[in-house]
Amino acid sequence: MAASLTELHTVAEVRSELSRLRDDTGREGQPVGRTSLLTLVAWVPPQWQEAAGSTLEGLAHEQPSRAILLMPRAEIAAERSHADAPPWSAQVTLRAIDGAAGCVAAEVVTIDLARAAGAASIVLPLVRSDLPVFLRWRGPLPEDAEPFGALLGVADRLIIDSREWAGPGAGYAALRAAFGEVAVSDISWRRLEPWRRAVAEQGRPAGPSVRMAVDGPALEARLLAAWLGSRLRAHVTLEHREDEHVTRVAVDDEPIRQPRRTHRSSSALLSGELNQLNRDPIYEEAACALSSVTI
Amino acid sequence: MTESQLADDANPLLAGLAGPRTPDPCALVIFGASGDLSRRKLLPALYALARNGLLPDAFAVLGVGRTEMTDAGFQAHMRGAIEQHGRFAFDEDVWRELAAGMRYVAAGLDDESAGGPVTDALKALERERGTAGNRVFYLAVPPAAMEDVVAAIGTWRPAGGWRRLIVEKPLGHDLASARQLNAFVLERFFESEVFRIDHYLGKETVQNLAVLRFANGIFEPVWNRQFIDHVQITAAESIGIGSRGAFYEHTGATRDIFQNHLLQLLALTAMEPAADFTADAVRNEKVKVFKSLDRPGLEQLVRGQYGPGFVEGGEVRGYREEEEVASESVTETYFAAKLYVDNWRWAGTPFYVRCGKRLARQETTIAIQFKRAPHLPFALDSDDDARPNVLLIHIQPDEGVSMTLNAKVPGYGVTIRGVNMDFAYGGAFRTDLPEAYERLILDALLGDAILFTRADEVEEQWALVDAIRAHWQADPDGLAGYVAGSWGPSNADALIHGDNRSWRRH
Ligand SMILES: NC(=O)c1ccc[n+]([C@@H]2O[C@H](COP(=O)([O-])OP(=O)(O)OC[C@H]3O[C@@H](n4cnc5c(N)ncnc54)[C@H](OP(=O)(O)O)[C@@H]3O)[C@@H](O)[C@H]2O)c1
Repeated sequence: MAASLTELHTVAEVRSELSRLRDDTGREGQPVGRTSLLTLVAWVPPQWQEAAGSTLEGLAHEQPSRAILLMPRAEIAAERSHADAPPWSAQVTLRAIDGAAGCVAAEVVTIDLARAAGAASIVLPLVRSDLPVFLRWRGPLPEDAEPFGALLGVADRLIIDSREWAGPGAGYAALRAAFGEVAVSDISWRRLEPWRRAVAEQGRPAGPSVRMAVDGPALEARLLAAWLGSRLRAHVTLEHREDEHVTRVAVDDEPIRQPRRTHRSSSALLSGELNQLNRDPIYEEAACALSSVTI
Repeated sequence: MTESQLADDANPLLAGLAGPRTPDPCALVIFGASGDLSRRKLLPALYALARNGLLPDAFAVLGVGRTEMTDAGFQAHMRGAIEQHGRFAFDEDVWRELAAGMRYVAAGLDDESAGGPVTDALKALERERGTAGNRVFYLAVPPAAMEDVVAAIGTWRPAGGWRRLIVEKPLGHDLASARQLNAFVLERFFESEVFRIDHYLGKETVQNLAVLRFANGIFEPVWNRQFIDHVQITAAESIGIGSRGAFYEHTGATRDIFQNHLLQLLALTAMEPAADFTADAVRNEKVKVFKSLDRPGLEQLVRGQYGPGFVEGGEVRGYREEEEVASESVTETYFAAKLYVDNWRWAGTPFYVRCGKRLARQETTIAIQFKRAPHLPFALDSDDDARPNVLLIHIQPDEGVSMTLNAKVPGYGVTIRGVNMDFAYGGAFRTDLPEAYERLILDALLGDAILFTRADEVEEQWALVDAIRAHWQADPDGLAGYVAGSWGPSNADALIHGDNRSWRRH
């Protein structure tokens, strides 16, 4: 792995550092391959930095891409409050991944942000041309427009994980607004897929209202119930017991057959979402129906 | 009405849950389960499918071979094979689930009564695993045993379930034997139940060829005689014949590689776009290519046999010194031909194909060489500086696609150099491409025959090989020698140099 030694403060510096590292890294003097699929932009507040680091580590082997990590830091804002301090600084690392087909590069640009506003203007010149841009937003969606709105303007797909949210409150309003603009993935929704399949295979419940019991994380339980309600155009009453993962589901007291064990790492889950380019209307409907679930 | 609307109407909960298709419950019966193919390819492929959750919940494997083994012995043997040849780290949970449905029966099937123990074991296994009478028979037995096995299983019609038959190469050794084998099989199975394997078709890059051609608007308009100068298809191996001397003596490069793999690559390169990507539509188009292939004259053919030499630094012996090879053997270990596809798209465009053992390096590639730019407005030392563009499809190793372009060398004058644009499969997507057998077994379990060859394709391929071999009968001295580790006999160069072209060297 090669990393820039100095702090970079302009887009031009970041670009030239990337190309320098690419020339230096490689197998047997060969420059690394540049085949590229996408740019991943991740908004990573301090409490998510460790998790984001390990996800990215695993991702490098699945989806060679350019990742731009935006790290808003409260203490930096205080340090650099005087007028001539640069609003951001970046570091670049480039990991050469040896594979059967030669050597490819996973580029990571980590940007410490002294202030959140204007983040999109750093990202825009750094995304790979003509390739999709994925915005992974860690933690709850903010209520204020900046920088979320501007970053959404750069992205083709927003990826969230509602397991990271404290509750179904304000975030969902921002999410519903995003549905009209970009395609959206919720990693929790993907985790629920084996359960959704199992429920679907059990057949459609009769009657205008359905009772659902779920042991699992609160928002996932709610999302599952909202999905059932929105698909069936029925009213769903949810009985929920907290658990780390979804471990039990019953519909109208009928237990749902436990799907096969599917433990997928956070990297694999994110990688799966990076292969999706289209809108997911079933998810959008379910997310919009969250508030109609009775608990 | 779209598929999702149908799902919506019947069960709205299924909408959006398409995901990967999993096959119906079924039992896979492998004849030849104690053999090399099962150990090296089939079981590792099944394990990979199980690990990726692509096998049905109700699934069973019944191994049949002549060697006596218990169920536990068979399972232990297969576990070892997966540990040795599998592409994933061994996971006990995945294995336990797969092994739970695995049994073995020792039977030769050379007379009809010998099938009794197999059907008894199969029925018991089907009841135990709930596979609903659906059966896939995999013939991994030597050609000599093929008809015996087909005759026996042809009469086993499960009540209610479907059945499929997977057949391995060689599918005959000439047109007459291929016809006979097809007829024998088709008296007992419908064509739609037969899945003939050409494992090249299971390779990711071979499938990508169709995507490259038909999902990119820029290639198809220039994919014809007006823009393409010629096509070169190479299937070169650096290895020799190993311990398969007896087999190879009766086969040779033409039957072993050209008849199936090379001709399939040629058909995929030359075929017209199918109306849809379904088995019959694609196979119809391939058959049209085979039917349009001009029968080559002797002057368009080269055959050779390797002598001693050096391969990757090691000294190797010549073909005639290999084990179980006759000292006067005239079996060809190298074959090259100049072929023409006589149709509107390709008239006059040569397809140079070659394959062989003990060549300079291992590579399977399709090179599409475009015509030169018609006029160069630059003052160059020689027109050779601007080389023709080549689209190179790497089938193995290093799967990918590259394109050579002419570019200006930075500086004050105009100097042109060819540069490569590379798309390496492993570089763009996950590095672990599925093994061909994984895809092929899965497709057979799903009943999708697009990557399998149809009886008429196989017969067309053999008809061409027969025409070629007939020339050789009339030209017994035409076998040329070549040094192991080289690119083949010198008359192969003459074949292409005569047209002012040359083989790709690397
Ligand atoms: N190996 C490969 O990589 C490969 C690749 C492509 C195609 N193939 C084709 O696949 C087939 C099998 O190849 P292989 O390499 O696995 O051969 P192999 O190692 O010789 O195994 C042959 C298998 O068939 C069984 N068998 C032989 N005669 C039989 C008979 N009369 N009745 C029932 N079973 C019989 C053998 O049982 P016992 O040993 O227990 O007697 C053994 O299980 C051949 O047609 C070959 O051309 C193989």
